[in-house]
Amino acid sequence: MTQVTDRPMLPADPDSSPYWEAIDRGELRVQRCTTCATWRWPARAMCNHCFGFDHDWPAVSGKGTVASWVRTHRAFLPQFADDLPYVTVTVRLAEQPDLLLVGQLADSHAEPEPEPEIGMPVRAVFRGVSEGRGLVFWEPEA
Amino acid sequence: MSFSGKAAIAGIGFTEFSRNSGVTTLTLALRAIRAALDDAGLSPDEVDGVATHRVSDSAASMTVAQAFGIRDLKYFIDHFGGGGSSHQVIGHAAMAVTAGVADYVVCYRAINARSAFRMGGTGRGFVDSPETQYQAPYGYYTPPQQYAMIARAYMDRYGANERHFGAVAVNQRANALLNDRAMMRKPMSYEDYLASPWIAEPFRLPDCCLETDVGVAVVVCSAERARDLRQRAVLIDGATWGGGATLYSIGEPDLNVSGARHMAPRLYRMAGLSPADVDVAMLYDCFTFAVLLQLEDYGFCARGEAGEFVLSGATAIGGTLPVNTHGGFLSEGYAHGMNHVVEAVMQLRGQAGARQVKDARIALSTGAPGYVGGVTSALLLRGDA
Repeated sequence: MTQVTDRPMLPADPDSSPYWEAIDRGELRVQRCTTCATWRWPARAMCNHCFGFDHDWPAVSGKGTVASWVRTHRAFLPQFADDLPYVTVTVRLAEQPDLLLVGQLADSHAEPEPEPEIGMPVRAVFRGVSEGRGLVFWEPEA
Repeated sequence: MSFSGKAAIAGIGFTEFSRNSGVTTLTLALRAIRAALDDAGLSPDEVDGVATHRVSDSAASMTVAQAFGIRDLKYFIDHFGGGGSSHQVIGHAAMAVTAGVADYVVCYRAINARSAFRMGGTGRGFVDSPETQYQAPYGYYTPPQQYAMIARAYMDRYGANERHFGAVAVNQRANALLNDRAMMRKPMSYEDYLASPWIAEPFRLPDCCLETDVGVAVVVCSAERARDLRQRAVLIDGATWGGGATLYSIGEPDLNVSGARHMAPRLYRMAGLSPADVDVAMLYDCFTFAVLLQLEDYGFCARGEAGEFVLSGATAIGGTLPVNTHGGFLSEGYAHGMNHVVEAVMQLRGQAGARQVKDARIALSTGAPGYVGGVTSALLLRGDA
C-alpha cells in the first residue's frame, strides 16, 4: 500500500476489529445481517431492522457516490495542521442507500483541494498509514 | 395524563458570559442557581430537586445538592448529553413537580466551554461515540465539521447559499446589540460576514456558535406554586424529547431529516398549539444552518424555504416570527441550550427591554435538532394570563 501521512488511529473494539483487519489487508468488508441481509456501519452486535444477532463480513463492491463533503480550514487536531485545508467526504455505498461512510478523496493535495460534486461516483482505494495500519480512501470513477 | 400547563418556570438566573470565568463549574452553577432563586423569591432551603445535563465537563447535580446542604433530596437527574438534551432536563423537572416527587427543582448548565473543555473541538481529545474511531483518522470529528456536512447537502438540494447563512448571523448580531449580557456587542454587516475566515466550509467563523464560560439556571415548580411567587409564571405547555437516527445508525438515507422533524408534531399536539400560535422562537443555533433547518422542522416554512424566510426579515424583532432575540449562541453566548430558555421566559414576562417582542404570549425554545447525537428536545412556553 502507498503510505500517506500519519493518522490518529484509535483502537478497534471487539465489534469493529473485522472491519479494520480487512482494511489492513486492502479489503473493504462491511457487516451484514445474515437473517435479513441489511448492511450496517459502524459495526454493532444487532441488526436494527430485524433484531437478529447473526452476521457476516462480506467484501463490498467498493463503489459509491459522494453524499456530501466539507472542507476543513482549522487545525482541530495538530496532526492535520500541515494538510489545511482538507476535504472530507461522506460516501453512500452502492450496496444500500443508508450505508454512509466518512472518508477522504485519495492523493488530493492541490491547494485548495478540488470540490467534489454531490452524486459523483467514487471507488475505494487503500493507503497505508502508521504501524502497518491501512485506511480506505476514495477515488473518482473514471 | 399529560403534564401540559401544570408546571411552570418560576425563576431564571445566569452568571456573566465570558471567555474565562476563572472559577469552577460548581461555582458557576451555584451562582446561577442562587440568582434564579432570588429571581423567583425563593429561599435556597426550599430546593428539593436538582437537574442538569453534561458531557463529563461540569459539576454533577449531586455535588450541587450537597453544596446547598440538602439532606433529603427528593429528585435529581444527571443526564449524560449535549445540546440535544438541554430542554429535556426541564421537561423531566416538569414531570417531577407535576407528579409530586419534588416541589422546587433547579435546572442548570454550567460550563467552562472556552477556558477548559472547548466545545468546538479545538485542541481537545475525542469524545466517546460509536463513530469516533471511523472518523478521527480523517481529521473529522468536531461539531462544525459534522454540521457542515449536512449543510452542504442542504445547499446542494435546495439551492441555499451564503446569503441565507449570513442573514441568520447578521440578524442575531443585531439582536445582541440590544442585550447587555451578550458577548458580541460589535455590529456586523453582511460584508463583515463574507470577509470572515472559513472554519469548516460552508461555515465561516460567524456561522459557528461562541465557546463560553457560563452558568445558567431555571427554577421549575407546579403552576400553582409559581403563581404565589415573585414573577409572572411561565407555564410549560409542551415538553418533548426524543429523536433517534443519526447518519450512521442505518435507517435514515436522507441527510436533511433531523430528529426534530419527527418530534415537532408531538410537541405541538401536547401543547394544543400550532406553529401559527408561536410569537417568538429560540432555535438551537450551534450553527446558522441549524436555525434554517429548524424553521422548517418546526413548521414555520416549507422545506428549502427557510433561507428566503430569514432574508425577508420575518425572523427579526418586529417580524412575524422573531428568532433568537438575545443574539443566540452565535452572539449572546453558548450555555449549551439553557440560555434560550432564559430569553424565552424574559420575553413572556415582558422583561426583554429593547428586545421585547410586542404581546409575546407563546414561545418555542429548542435543543439541538439531533443530527449528530440523534437526540433532541424542546419546550413550548406560555406566559400566564
